[in-house]
Amino acid sequence: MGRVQAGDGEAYRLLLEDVSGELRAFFRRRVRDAEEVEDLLQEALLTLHRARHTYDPARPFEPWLYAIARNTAIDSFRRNRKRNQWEMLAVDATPIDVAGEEPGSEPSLDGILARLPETQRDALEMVKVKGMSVEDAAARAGVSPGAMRVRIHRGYRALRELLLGKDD
Amino acid sequence: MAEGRTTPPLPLAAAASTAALIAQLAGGVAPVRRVWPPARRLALWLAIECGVVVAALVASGWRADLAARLTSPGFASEIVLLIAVGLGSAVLALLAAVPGREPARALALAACAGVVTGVGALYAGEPATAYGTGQLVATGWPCAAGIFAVAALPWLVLLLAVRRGATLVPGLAGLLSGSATFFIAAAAVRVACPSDERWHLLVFHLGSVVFGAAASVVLGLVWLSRWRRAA
Repeated sequence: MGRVQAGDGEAYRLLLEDVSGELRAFFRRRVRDAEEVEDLLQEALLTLHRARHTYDPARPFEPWLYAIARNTAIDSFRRNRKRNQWEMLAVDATPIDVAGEEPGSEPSLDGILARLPETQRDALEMVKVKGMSVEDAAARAGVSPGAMRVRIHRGYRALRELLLGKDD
Repeated sequence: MAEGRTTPPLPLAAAASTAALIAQLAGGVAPVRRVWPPARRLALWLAIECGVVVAALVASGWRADLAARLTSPGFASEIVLLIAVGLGSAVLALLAAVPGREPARALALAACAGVVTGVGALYAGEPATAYGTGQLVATGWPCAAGIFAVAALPWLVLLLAVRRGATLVPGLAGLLSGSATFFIAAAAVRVACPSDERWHLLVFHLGSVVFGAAASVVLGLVWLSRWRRAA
């Protein structure tokens, strides 16, 4: 790391390749989705790069490295949690009555899907209505398959809440 | 595997982009000036802090009964406590600028809350005078302004020293920076201020410390985290 701080590109490449394996294993123990693991790894490598001037070669490397990795994982967890809260708020704010339905009639699937947040509606339509694979749907939406599965799961939950609310 | 879980296959595109990132970072790496060790940064900050406090006391003078008050264990231990907390916070703030050396968040927060409560309890034990609000404000605002004036330069210097590092806990680093400078400023103003009135001390002395530390948390969250978004 001392050579890296002196600007040795080759030493830096070897170091980054070396720590990538360790960091990937670290994130895999916390996250199942392989693409999310790579996202976290890349974020941790960028953080390491920006913080490389703070490493003291007289001290062990691992605590410094794993503090960055741990913080990257925690930040990601917080971001996901915040996003979940916003999506749940959006669901909560959705009126339960299905506009355009005849009073007393059964709600149509399209009518209820229309009440979901756009990301969840698109996810359910692509995977459950059109029969696309999670991977294809994720590629079309520009997100990781893990994120697509989360959207589908939340879509189901929101649908259930809407339907239960309609029945009440 | 140790956990008995099958490792999911790594998507080729993701692996390729990680390899590309490594190549990009390694290809463009420039020499960096290593951040000073915390002890050296602390020594520099302490020199500035001492200079500011001495200059402030020379400019404003100290309370006429200072020698007598210092013989009181309560007053003397209060001054020692304020300075000790300030120094301890400065050490922790500088450590918080280095990944892997951050203090435990819960412990630091509990310590800060404990000290504020303790100092508050000390002040609450002082006699209360039947001040009107106007008189309370008239006698109090110069002390609050004094605390901010004494804290300002060391606060800025400490935040810059933390910013020079790479804190992973910007809010906590901000809190500790504010706590360091405002507690010491409160000690300096306490030595100069002739009032021992309960509400004066609670509102304008301790209140200024709490306000300053809270402002420092906000500043920390906004400013001390920017290094992670740098190009």
